[in-house]
Amino acid sequence: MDSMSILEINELTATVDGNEILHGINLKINKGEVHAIMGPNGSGKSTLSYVLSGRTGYEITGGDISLNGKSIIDDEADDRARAGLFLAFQYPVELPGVSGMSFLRASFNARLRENGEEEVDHLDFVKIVRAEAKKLGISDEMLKRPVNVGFSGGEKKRYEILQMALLKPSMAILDETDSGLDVDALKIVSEGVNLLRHPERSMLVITHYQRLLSHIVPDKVHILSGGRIVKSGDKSLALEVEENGYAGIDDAA
Amino acid sequence: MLPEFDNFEVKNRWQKVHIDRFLKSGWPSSKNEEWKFTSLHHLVHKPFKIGLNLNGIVESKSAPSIKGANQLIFRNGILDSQLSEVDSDDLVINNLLDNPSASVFLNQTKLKQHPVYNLTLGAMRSATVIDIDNASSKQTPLIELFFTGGLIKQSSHPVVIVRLAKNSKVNILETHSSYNGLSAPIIFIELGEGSVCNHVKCQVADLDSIQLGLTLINQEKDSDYRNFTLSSGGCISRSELHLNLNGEEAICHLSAIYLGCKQQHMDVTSRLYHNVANCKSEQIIRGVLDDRARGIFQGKIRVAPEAQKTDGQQMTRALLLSRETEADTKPELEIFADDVICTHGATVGELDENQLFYLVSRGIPLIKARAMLIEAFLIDTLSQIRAPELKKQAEYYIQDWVSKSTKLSSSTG
Repeated sequence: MDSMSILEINELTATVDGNEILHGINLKINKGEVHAIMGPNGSGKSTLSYVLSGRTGYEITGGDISLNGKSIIDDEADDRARAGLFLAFQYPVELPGVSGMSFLRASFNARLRENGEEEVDHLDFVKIVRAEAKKLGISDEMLKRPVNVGFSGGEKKRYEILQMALLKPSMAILDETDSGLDVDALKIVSEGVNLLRHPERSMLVITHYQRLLSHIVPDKVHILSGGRIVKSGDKSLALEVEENGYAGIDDAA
Repeated sequence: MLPEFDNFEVKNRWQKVHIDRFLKSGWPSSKNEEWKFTSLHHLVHKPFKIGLNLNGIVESKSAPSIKGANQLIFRNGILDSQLSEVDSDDLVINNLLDNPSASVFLNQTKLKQHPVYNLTLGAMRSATVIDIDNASSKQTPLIELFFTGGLIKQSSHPVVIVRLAKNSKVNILETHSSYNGLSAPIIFIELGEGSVCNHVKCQVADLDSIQLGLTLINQEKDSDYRNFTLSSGGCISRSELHLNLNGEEAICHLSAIYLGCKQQHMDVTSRLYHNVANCKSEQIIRGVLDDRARGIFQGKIRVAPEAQKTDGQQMTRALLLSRETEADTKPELEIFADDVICTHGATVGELDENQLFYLVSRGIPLIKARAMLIEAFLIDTLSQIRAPELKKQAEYYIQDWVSKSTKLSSSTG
């Protein structure tokens, strides 16, 4: 095992409702690297993000996933999150009745507790959140609302990035963060993500389109098709997809 | 076997009428439409002695205490004047049974055949009347009615009457955590013209007890009544409220929560009578059921022919945490006026897997995530409690129940 790698996926197979969707994924992401996974609809992109984050119903049937050198396949989703994994949702979930602040604080404190650090009280936490929210153009009014309730598509994605900024994951997975965003919103969200690029933080950007990757420029690009990574390369691979479509790539692979 | 009336003597002769009516009809079975979901017939085999004396220990309330509350402590259903403490000059407290007009006041014809009504009026040892005439006061007094003590083999029958004079205001906190095997309290509240009452009731008694609380409200013109009721105690719990809108422009908001686990039977019953025009009523009911608990909401709204421009809303939702629970809803809309808005709705659901995953994916442990979603499900019921100190009590008992419930669920898988 390379001491530099943050996330390592070996021969991963997984099923949903008894159907095998991932047929042996291999992927290694080193510290500080940003990788992109591109693929056509139904290639297993979202399944991969859920399998990595430990969602119930996504069953690992073979292979292994390690985070910071430790296998996480027997860990629950909340354990994985506290160990430094973060999933920015394609469709962030509305939680009516759950105050945004108490949600953010509960997740923030869960992480602190895991690290043996002291939890922060409400007042101190408000200061921390406001500072991060400001960078992302998130208003106080938005922070006061219940989680994701009444947020526009762009606001929801910014709120995901805010959570990432607060939780400081070592491995962030961004699942189709560009979906449902107009050009301006895409720019704001991408800038937010770029601000969080850090030598100690790796990212896996899952997307259908190249356009996100001209904002968040990846170190490596992988093409996922039919539950397998069929081709890997540098950022020019994304441009190739843009030009020739996925069909062309499949032929090459 | 009915409650043991051997050696029992009524305080006032007129109470005998109620005892006789109760003995004649007995405990209601499911054949009685009003008690269709909550048969008490098996109580026939479970005798209780009527609580006649102050006894049983006074346990301090687990919820945070409230500064400046006028506290009336009832042990075994009887007012313990030694332990009670009333400071506010706005409140005048008497025993209605000393007053010859008591029987007239308490004679509610609609309840003539009501078993709890008859049993308690017959068995009560005192009826505490609190008169409030404080239109000119700046402060709203808080009355805390705390029911504690009692014995498992005894039944308690406290009666409290609160009368608000014109433009008066009061906050009432009613907490039931006695040790009586059967508690059948009656709380009457009479709201005079323009008066305002915030009423929070927390029934958090022992899980082996039987809780049959009756709340009776009469509202005059322009009065504003807000009730929040939480029921989490009792193997059988029925929280029943009858409300009469007798004066125009009167408003009532009724929020009720039942929280059931194990084999608890939780019944929330409301009877709303829109007797005059231009009144507004809103009811929000939320139930959370775990293990093999059963929840019932029966809600009647009766709109009299002359009650035009009535606005009556009723919404009930139940959250089932286990597959062996059952939730029943019986809305009864009896509308005899033509220009009214009356709506009702009912839903039953489970915790949303998508929402749970969102929370745990942020590192929040599953137990905490479940608790957050259950509390979120209940939060709407708290919105109408205007007095912050009363809201805190409600929040305390919700959190207490949710934290115990989610811990239990996670330990059993």
